[in-house]
Amino acid sequence: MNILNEATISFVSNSGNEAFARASAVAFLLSADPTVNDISDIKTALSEAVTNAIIHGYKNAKGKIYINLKLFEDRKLVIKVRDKGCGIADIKKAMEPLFTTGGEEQAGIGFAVMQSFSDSLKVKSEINKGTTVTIVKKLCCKDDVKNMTVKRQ
Amino acid sequence: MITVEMNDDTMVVRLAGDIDHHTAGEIRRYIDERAQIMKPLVLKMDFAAVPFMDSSGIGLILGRIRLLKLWNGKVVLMNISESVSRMAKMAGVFNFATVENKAENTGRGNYKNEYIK
Repeated sequence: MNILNEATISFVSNSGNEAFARASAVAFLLSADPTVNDISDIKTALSEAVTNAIIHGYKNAKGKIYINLKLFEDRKLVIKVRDKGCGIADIKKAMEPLFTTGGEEQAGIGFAVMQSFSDSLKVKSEINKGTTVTIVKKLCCKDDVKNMTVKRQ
Repeated sequence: MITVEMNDDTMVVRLAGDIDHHTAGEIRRYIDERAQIMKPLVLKMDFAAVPFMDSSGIGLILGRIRLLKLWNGKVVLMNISESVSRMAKMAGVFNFATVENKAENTGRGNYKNEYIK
């Protein structure tokens, strides 16, 4: 499948950049004329991934976060969020809902949300090398939405 | 900008803007500073003016449920979106907090009626 568009951004792991990451992804997506629901889901999944990189990957210390966005001809969107932080010792454990090492103010559902708000999620991690999270979501076509509405009427 | 209103034993916190890991800390401090003094029996968190929220907001809700529990208070969530509701379900929030989603409650000033019994 041919790539329609691609962008890579990198930024320092300041928590203020969580909003920057979301806004950048939305700006990238706009050319594909996405639905409001798709924008919302992608922003949420991406925000979880970037937050994980900041809190867990870099443990709130300074490091760089890289986001690669690829949009394919079939409207499949692939987002890779990479950090060069501490890595995840037990990915299976980390992905369990309600498991968190982040303390009382963390809900522990970051990975569950990423899974639920996307079509597929892949996590690759190496101790002291970093973590790459790959989020895949097929964007809904505006035509699909129109057809759905017509059917409902 | 967050606003807080106290009516009898009910504290209404109207949240505004995106809630993520970056903004959740400040919101938490803002609410806790006031709640710990006033110890409301009901804390209503209104999300009508929150365009985006990730699971940091769920952590914020769970933390406030835990705080209110200290004096047997309850948390009520108002005007939550479908995606917030999905995340809240995953974390089991609805076992501890009730929801009030009223379409007419999206504007300011409509809340007063609720306190006239």
